[in-house]
Amino acid sequence: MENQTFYYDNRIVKNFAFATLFWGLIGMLVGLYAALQFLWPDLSFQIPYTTFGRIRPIHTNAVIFAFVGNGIFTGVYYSLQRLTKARMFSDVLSKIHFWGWQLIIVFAALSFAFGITTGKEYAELEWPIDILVAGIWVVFGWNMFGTILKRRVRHIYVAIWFYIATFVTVAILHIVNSLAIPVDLLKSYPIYAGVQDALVQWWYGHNAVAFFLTTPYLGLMYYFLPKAANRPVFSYKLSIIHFWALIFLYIWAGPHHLLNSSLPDWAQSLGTVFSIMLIAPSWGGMVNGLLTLRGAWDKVREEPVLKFMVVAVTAYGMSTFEGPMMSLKAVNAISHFTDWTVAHAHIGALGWNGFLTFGVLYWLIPVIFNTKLYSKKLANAHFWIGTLGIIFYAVPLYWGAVTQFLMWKEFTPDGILRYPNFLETVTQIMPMYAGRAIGGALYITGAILAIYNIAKTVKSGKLVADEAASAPALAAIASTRSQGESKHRWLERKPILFLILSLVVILIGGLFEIVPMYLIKSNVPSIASVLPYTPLELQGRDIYVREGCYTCHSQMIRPFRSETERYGEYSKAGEFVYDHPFQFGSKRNGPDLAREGVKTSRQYKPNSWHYNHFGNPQKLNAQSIMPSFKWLLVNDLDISTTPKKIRVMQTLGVPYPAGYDTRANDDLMKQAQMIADDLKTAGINTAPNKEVIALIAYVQRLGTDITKPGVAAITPKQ
Amino acid sequence: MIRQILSSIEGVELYSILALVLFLLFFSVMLIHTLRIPKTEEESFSQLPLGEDNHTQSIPENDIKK
Repeated sequence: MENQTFYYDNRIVKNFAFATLFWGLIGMLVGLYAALQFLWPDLSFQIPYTTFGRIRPIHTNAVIFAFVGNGIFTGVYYSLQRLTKARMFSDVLSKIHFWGWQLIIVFAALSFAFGITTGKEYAELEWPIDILVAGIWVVFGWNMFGTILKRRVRHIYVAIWFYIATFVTVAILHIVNSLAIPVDLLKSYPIYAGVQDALVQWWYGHNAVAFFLTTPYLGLMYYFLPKAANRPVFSYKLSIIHFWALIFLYIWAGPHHLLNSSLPDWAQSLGTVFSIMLIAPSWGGMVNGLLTLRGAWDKVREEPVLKFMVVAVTAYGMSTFEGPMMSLKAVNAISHFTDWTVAHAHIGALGWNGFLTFGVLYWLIPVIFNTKLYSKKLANAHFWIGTLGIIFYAVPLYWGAVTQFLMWKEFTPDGILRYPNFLETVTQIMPMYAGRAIGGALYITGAILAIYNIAKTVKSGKLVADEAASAPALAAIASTRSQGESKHRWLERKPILFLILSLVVILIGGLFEIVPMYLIKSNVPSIASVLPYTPLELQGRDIYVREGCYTCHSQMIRPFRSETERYGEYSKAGEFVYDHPFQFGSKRNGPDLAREGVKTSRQYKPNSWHYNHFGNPQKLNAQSIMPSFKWLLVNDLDISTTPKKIRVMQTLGVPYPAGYDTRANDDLMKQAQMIADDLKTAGINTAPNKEVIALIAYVQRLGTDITKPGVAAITPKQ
Repeated sequence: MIRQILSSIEGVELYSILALVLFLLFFSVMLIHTLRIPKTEEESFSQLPLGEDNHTQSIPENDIKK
């Protein structure tokens, strides 16, 4: 067959590579800024756009979707063309993908700063941006499959299997978790509520880790590690087992984010069992990566690229051992809501994703610019500073997590909590937060060195925008299996079938977990005294979501003595049936708020306390790390949205009486006036139409429903 | 129909067991198949990323589109 000449598109690879570095630096700097706010809360400058609750989603989304996202596309666009011996299917689609993705990132950052958020971690984007994400993701998939279908290599390599699984699973996760009914252009309510919303969210959240931060990067590992070491992958058979077992198991593990919560026990057990089993394929992948270097370890001493990759794969191994351990209920009791989870996430993000990204970029940039890396010495310096940064980041947080957990749990010989004031347990670990910030700063220093080194490399070379290559076209052969061809080998030349099988494998887990959760009534026992939020509370709840309160406060009291002593009765699934979205939270930088409004609880505070606390937390607790929300005391509540919000809630099955939307604001004003009057008795003069009044109404409602004596039933949700 | 069937399932906790069995079946079939793959296929596969081009660190001048 005659050779055909074609050209690889390196310009799109370069664009994504530069975007990776740019957004990586921004995302890390915002992370450092957030870390410094733990030490100096006033660094928020007391303005809404820079408070922790708003910048934390900017940091997480920037790192996940901007830094790692662009990193994925850099590696995919480079490796896919080489592995298929074909230029990308369409330059136009490549450009739409690139600019569309950058636009999404800008929209995301702006919307979070302005408080436009769904309040669901790593899925905070509001519905118009969600639709844009889905559209751009389809463009990516279209371009990828177009390239695969016009390939000049018969069999698709393991890296491409992982790209396919990534594409199909992320599409499903994103669509299912983002289903919502819009109130207006900037606000929507998810169709799920309470524990069901939590299950869908963490099915998504966990698999965002699995199929955005892991599977595409495993694809990159399978391509770039052999390239950098100039060695074939250790075991083809292991890669088959690794791939299929990993994508089958990962999708089930989401409920481990909800252990010891009010999620039904069967779902929690399912999450635990499959999380433990995940060790095997994960370590299979790690072993396959590390053993690819057999006989080439001497190169690791010389080549910074390989150093980065080895630490990345090792960090992957550590994270994927630690994750299943954290899925044991007893260990999860320590790790959940403490800084352990934050440390765990950063071993993955800084070690696995970050270091693999830098390794790939150090290898790839000189190749596409037809030059040599400007300075190996600088790259080595980056490696050591970055590695120290990871250690300095993670160790203090592990230490702090265990310390804080032990303080939460400690009782005096008389059987009362040794540290009843939550703030004491935060103050104790402030040195650890300082250590974490130092670690983060070190890591960023390394990243800056990388940017300088890569900029100098780029300057010394010239981009080979269209790189010539040649290969014969694929000869037509029978689509059935040829003699002696194994089934999997046959499957590797059937990319569409491969896509369908991957889809089936990931859907099995999803269907097993999520469908029964919705259809079996016993999963969420209803509680007659649980009523919908009043209009004022509903508006207050939306402010709670807008300000990102869930980034620091949980609303989930676990059934531990230490928690029921501190916060009150443990949380029940039936209490959250009107919570669109759920607000369980995943980290306690402040106390749990699930029973904040219960007057007999240890935590109860009067309206005046909340008013003063929102305006100036340090006035009430000098050591508090909560930022000021003083604009809530000044801003008028927008009640024009109330009727629409009530109607959307009715559509979602919340049993407000028919026609209630038209009189909801009357009730809202009455309740607001009562709170304003109460504040007046405490010497606080404020108008009832301020945002803070709505937020006070919401927090004073929290957890109170089950304390009411047999309230006449509003029909519970069916 | 599906709603009726599922809402009447008793002992939903059996789902974990069922899921485990399903995975073990899937895994066993995959493992047996993989172990039977001939060595020749394995070798040609492993070479895939290495055989695609000639360069590792720099591109020959005549491979660059003018």
